[in-house]
Formats: sequence, C-alpha cells, structure tokens
Amino acid sequence: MREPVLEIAGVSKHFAVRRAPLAALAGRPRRRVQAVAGVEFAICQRECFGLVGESGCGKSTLARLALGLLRPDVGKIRFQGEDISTLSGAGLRALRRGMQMVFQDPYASLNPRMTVGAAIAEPLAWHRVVPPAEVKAETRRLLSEVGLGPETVERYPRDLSGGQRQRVGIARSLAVRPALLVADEAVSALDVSVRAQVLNLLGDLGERRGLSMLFISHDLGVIAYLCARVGVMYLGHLVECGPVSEVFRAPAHPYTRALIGAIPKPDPGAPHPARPLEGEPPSAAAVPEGCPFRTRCPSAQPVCATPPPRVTFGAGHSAACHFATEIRNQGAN
Amino acid sequence: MSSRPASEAPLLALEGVGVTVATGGATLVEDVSFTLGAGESFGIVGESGSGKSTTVRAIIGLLPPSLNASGRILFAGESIAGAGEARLARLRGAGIGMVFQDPLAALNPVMTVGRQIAEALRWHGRLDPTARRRRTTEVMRLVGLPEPERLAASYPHELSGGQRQRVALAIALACAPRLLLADEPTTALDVTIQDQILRLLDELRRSLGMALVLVTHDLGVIARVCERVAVMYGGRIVEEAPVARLFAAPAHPYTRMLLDSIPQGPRTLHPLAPIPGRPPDPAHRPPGCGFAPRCPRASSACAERPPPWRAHTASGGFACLHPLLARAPAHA
Repeated sequence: MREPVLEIAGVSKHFAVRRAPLAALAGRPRRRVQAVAGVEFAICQRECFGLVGESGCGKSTLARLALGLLRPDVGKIRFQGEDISTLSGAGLRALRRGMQMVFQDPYASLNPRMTVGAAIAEPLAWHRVVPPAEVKAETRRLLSEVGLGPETVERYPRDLSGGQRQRVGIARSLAVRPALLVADEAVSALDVSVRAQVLNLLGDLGERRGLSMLFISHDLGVIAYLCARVGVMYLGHLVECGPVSEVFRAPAHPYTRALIGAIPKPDPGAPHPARPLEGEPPSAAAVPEGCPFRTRCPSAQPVCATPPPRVTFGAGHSAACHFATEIRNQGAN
Repeated sequence: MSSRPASEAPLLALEGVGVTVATGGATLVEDVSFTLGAGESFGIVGESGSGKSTTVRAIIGLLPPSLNASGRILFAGESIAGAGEARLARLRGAGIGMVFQDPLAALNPVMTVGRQIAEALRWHGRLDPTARRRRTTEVMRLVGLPEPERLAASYPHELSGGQRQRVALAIALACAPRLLLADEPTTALDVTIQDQILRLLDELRRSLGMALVLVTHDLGVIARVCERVAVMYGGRIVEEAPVARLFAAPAHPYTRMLLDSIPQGPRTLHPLAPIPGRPPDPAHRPPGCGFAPRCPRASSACAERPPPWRAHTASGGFACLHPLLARAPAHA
C-alpha cells in the first residue's frame, strides 16, 4: 500500500452568513452555510484524484482546506502524515513548498506587471530552491518542461494566449518542486484543442515527477481522462467515491448517475436518459436533513430523511445512499 | 451549400457574409454562407475567435458600431442586411428571438421579470394589458418556470442562473418568433441545469415549429440538439454537414482533430492527440487556409489562397484541398 500524501479525515467547514442589521436586532439567528460536511478521502503518492461537482458543492472550499488556507471546523487534514492545522512558521513554509495550486484563470493569478521570467524566479528565490546563480537556468528549464520556449521569459501575461498563461501558471507551481498539485478547474477556461494539450501536459508531469494531484473540475470527462479515482460532491457531502472506471460503469449514488446522464456526449446517436434531473440544488444555507440529495432524487423514499449509510463495495468504491446497492445494480444509464 | 431543394424558400439565408473591424481592417468573419429551413436546428461550433458569435450577431444587426458587416442576409425571403434600426427592432423578438450566454447581462436588474416579458409583448404592439399578463404567465409556464404568478414579481438577482436563462428564453419566445438565435445559452450553467435547458430548447422547437441557430464551443451540445452543423475556424465555415455525418466521417482535418481533442475515457486507453499550436489571431490571418499552419495534411497550395468550397457528395460541404474522404459511394 502506498503512503497517502494527503488525508482528508472527516472534515467539515461552515461559514457564517452576515445578517442584515435589522435581522440581528430582531434576534434572528445567524445563518450558517455548510460548505463541506464530513468529507473523507486520501490521495496516495503519484495518484491523481478527481473531485467533481456543480457550483456550490464545496469542491473549491475543499481545495482551500487541503492547502491550509482555511482551517476545518471538524476533522483533520494530514499532509505527508502531519496534521497541517498545528503548523506555523517554518512548518507552514515547508507545507507551502510541498503543495501548490494551479488556478482556473492564470490571468488573475499572475501579476500583470511581472514578466513570465520574474514570476517563475520569485518562488525559486523565495524558497531558495536553487542557488541564486542558477535561478535563470532553472527558470528556463521549467519553461521548457511545460512546453514554452526561452523567449517567453521576457514576455508579460498579456502577451500570451490562455493556454500559454496556463502553462506559465503550471511552471510557477512546479518551481518549488511540490509533492502535491491542487488544480482547481485548471482547464475549464481553455478551448477544446488547447485543453487537450494542457491535460496531456499535466498527465506527463504527474508521471515524470511522481506528483500527486487533487484535480477539481465540474467536467467528468476531463476527470475520467486524467484521474484514477474520483470523488463526487453534492452540497458539501462526498456522495460517492471510487475508481473512475467503477463509478462510470456502475454508479452507486443517484446523483452520480444523473450527472453522468446529463453530460452531452459528442455522439449524435447516444441515448438520452429518460428522466432528467429536475429542479436545482437547494441553497447551502438550507441543506436538507438526512440525504442532501433527497429533494431532487428520483429514487427518494421516506427513509432518506435520515442520514444515509456509507455503503462500500470492492476496490474502494463507496456511496452514501440508503439504496446504494440497488442503484449500483442498475448499472450505468 | 444547402441540401434543400431550390423550390422551398429557406427561412434564413446568409450569402457571403463578412465582418471587419472598421479601423485597421482585421477580418473577423469571411464569406459565411448557409441556409436554414423552417423548424430546422442548425449548430455553429468553433473555438474562441472563430467568428461564430460575431456571425449570429450580424444576422440580427447587433454588431457594435466599430464593426462593419457585408454580404446578404435573407429572412423569410427578405433582405435584412443593413436594415434600418426601426425595421431590425420590429424583427427582433417578433420574427427572430435571441438568448445569450449570460442572462444577467441581458436582463434589466431593476425591473421585475414579469414586466420584462410583458415589455417584449408591448414593444411589438401585441395585446391589451390583460392579455399581456395572461401571455406572460403562459410563456413562463412554457419555459418551465414554477409558480409563474409569484415569480413574475421577482427581480433577476433573486433567481438562480438556470431560472434567469429561462426568463431570457421567455422574453425571446414571448412573441412566438420563427427563429431563435442562441449564443452559448448553457455555457454558464451547471451540467444538470444545462441538460434541462437543452431538453427545453428541443421540446420548444418541436412543439412551436421554431427554427434554431445554436452557437457553442461544445460538440456534445451540438450532437444533442442540432440536425445540421457548421464548423467555423479562423472566421470561416470550414465544414458543414448533417450532424450524424460530421461526427462519423468529418471531411475537414480540423473537424477530425477537434473531435479527437475531446476526452473519451482514461488517458491510458484513449490518449488525446491535441492539435499543435493555436488558432490564428484575427489581425494576422494567414492568406491561405487558416488551419494550414496547424494541419498535418497541408501542402504549399494551402498557404496560397483560401481553399474553395466543395460540395460533399451527400450534403453539406467543406473548404479543404486535402479532405478526409472515404471512397465515394457508387451512387454519387
């Protein structure tokens, strides 16, 4: 069994919603948004773990928790065996070197007044990754590793295309030689042809550098391409988790099933599922009791008002649903 | 370029439509032609900067003043290219409805959604106030908005993204247009909500007999709702085909490579072969085929002048000197 690099153990996170002054005077209770609820999974060395879900499901909050940018209310996050909530000073600095983020929009994460070379040299110098004399050469090496020529050093983010900017963002993340890359919708803003390039780049880097990856996306297709395992989130809950092949072949949670069915397939002959998912996810400030999905679930029963058990199957496949076994036996759509 | 018999007048016809930037002269759209029959659904697919959105905006005269359009646009047999603002205003909504990617930008933030739908009816001089209210409720129901009477009193910011897109659709449909132009209508929506809106568009088209031009970057969306599709690259249509053939046997190398860029499973089993390089900058288009610099089949002739349009033996056509054609069928 490979060592886990990142462990998310029973993690929950709430945010308080600011009340209007009048509501506060009237003594109305402060509303709480449940962003992440009891999430549990681990990412092993060299593993690419995908996290999928729709807007507001808590996947980006989970990324911030994993990176130590937010602290969990409940639960533990361990990076290379160490509880990151206890870290400070030098420990935190080492953590920042160990895990890096790739953002959706590198245009927003790169300083527009800094050349590409300076943007990549900064973390190299700050974390003393290489001696000062070697910073220049290392910058070029990193650029070539992500498929950019040495002339890119002098360019500014505005001179680059979206795909090139994303490559710069990746090179900057790699500068400190992290063990884990957290990619939050890293290819979502890219055109189809450029997206394929960046997906292959991430896959190659993962293999070559032995990186672990937390790959967050709303797109199951790109997750299935890059990741071996996937977690499906709905309203803060990890409703299903397992090997990508298993989850696609025999989804065990009705939400996963609906999500797979809703993806428009590039095949005009593909059958559409007879029943689309109706309604919209409720607000994260009003998550239903019991199963969070029961208000939209086509298979919901009265028992779903109670918290669903986590049903486990072979190969690390599990789903939080009262009827997981029945759903799984129905196979894919 | 259409397979339609000449006797049947198309609902919409574009002939050699071009769009250039007034200052500097960069060409955004060049020589775009296609026709659309009543009740038909036509997709335009392409990546950023391919000119797909500019083309649909040109149809309805919604280009900013900094852009110049040329060519012929016929709606129900009448030329509407360069039509005056008054005529276009009558046409928008009543003859041609529109929905865009971001409904929040299309909706008035300080007007209730019910009033905005009624406004579309009033603008086109339809109905008395009572009938307008009735029609407002009716179209809200048509687009699947729950409790229309209550929802009509809400403001756009109080609605979810999916509901806003339904409101934008209700406004577009209020005057029962014969053609709906939809520019990336589901791109900003979550996949389960996208599924709902695509189903709705499909149902509405069938039940109302309305034609649809759908612009998207997503080939999956095209496969889902369109009967025919045009692929745009570098401001031109490079291929047009019935949707089944486009996916099964594309003729243009760009179409083939675009299809091959969509993940179809794990990388270990179905590795993607991405298109090298990137699309041309509209200000510096190559003189020949726009795709030639990235095309593995390109020859020196491709770089000289844009390849002529060639009709496909079945229907549709392509602009390529070195198409990927299966052996021609015997009856061709």
